[in-house]
Amino acid sequence: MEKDLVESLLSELRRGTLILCVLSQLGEAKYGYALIQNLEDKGIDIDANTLYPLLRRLEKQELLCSEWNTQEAKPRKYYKRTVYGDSVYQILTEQWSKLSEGMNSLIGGNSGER
Amino acid sequence: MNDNNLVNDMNETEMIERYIYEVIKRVPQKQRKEIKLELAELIEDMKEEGTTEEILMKLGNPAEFAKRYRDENNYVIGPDYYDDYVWIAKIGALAVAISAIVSAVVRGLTEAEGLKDFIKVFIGEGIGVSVSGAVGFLGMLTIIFVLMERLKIKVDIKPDKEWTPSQLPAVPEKKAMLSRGESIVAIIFYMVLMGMFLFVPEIFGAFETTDTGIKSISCVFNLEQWSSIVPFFVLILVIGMFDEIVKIIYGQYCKAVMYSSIVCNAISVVLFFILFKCMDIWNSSFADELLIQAGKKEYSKGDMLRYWNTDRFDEFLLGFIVLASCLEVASYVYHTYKYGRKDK
Repeated sequence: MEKDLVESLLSELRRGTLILCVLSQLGEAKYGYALIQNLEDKGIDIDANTLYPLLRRLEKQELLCSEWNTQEAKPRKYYKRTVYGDSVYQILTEQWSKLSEGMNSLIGGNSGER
Repeated sequence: MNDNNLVNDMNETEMIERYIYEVIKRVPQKQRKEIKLELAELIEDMKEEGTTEEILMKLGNPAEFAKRYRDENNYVIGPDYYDDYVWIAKIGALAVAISAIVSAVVRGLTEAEGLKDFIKVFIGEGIGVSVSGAVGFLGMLTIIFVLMERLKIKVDIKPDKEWTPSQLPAVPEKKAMLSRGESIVAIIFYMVLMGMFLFVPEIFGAFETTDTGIKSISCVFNLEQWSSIVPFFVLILVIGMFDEIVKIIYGQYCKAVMYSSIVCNAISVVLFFILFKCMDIWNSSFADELLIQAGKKEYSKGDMLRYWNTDRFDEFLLGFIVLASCLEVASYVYHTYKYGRKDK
């Protein structure tokens, strides 16, 4: 099997789900690195060079808002879901449930083709 | 030991600075400050994961990082136009080659003395015109396509209109198609003409044959002010080429082609007006020089040369150009409404 091909298929598969991953964790404000660790703890690996640009994009799309916290020793940028982000997140999770149910019936259990 | 640490610290700080700089120099200006702070924060936070070098390795190539920060479609010529662009570039190569050969032959015939000299002039002129022609054509083509790319985004994407199958344009009947061949011939013709205007303007004039070859007697244009005249001709030809490229891309009568034809013809007519009315484009002594050459002292009665460089002559030419432009535009308007796509 071509290793590069599998790599690119995997990253394509992951890409769509990352937005949902990120939105799910930003009900309360977090800074970038904390978010990475947070996701890692739950078994989701995301590279910083993917996450940081993604956060900016989601902010531009008004799903997230950000604020620099300068009160601590290190200034950090905190991201949080907006109200609009909340409603989009709601829709996405519903769709995700449907999708994963469907996927499970396709490839999970005994009905999947092996 | 202390010194060593200090040096290492310096190196690490500098390494981080360099890394951040490599990323932000590749992102849009107004985002740089913010991204710089973000990256500094990130790298600082990652410090527990390992040495600076390891962290930067993990973050990967800064160019790749920066690419992810940029919006995705930052191309000059998008996939919609890429094939046409390459295709027309190839036609351009042919046109440049023809143009170079014509210029080289003219130069060789008029300037060279003897066969050896002819070859020298021929090759020199050929290479010169090929290089500047290729660079010029490619630059111009790219500008035209970038314009198209931007215009197309405005013309084609109408988010307020929902697409339905009823909008599907009819498969064009034969009469509605624009001939690619005609446009290609036109582009090559314009290129060759442009090559002549730029490199051998004396070709537009009278020649005589001598023992050593052909000699230019007199040019119809005012070569003394040629450098301020030639940009107008070049611009007119570029506009003409733009129009042809639009036709090739759309391939059939439609409003885009019609508008392009109207705008291009209008601009050309204005440029011709400036050329004829505000500039001394003609060589005022052309007719006299011909007369001398012919060994005559006066024009015979019906001689057209009597009208050389007179207002009447300019007006006649302008009238002709305006008429031709109007006819062309009228033809496009007529055909567009008769056969054209009515979806836009």
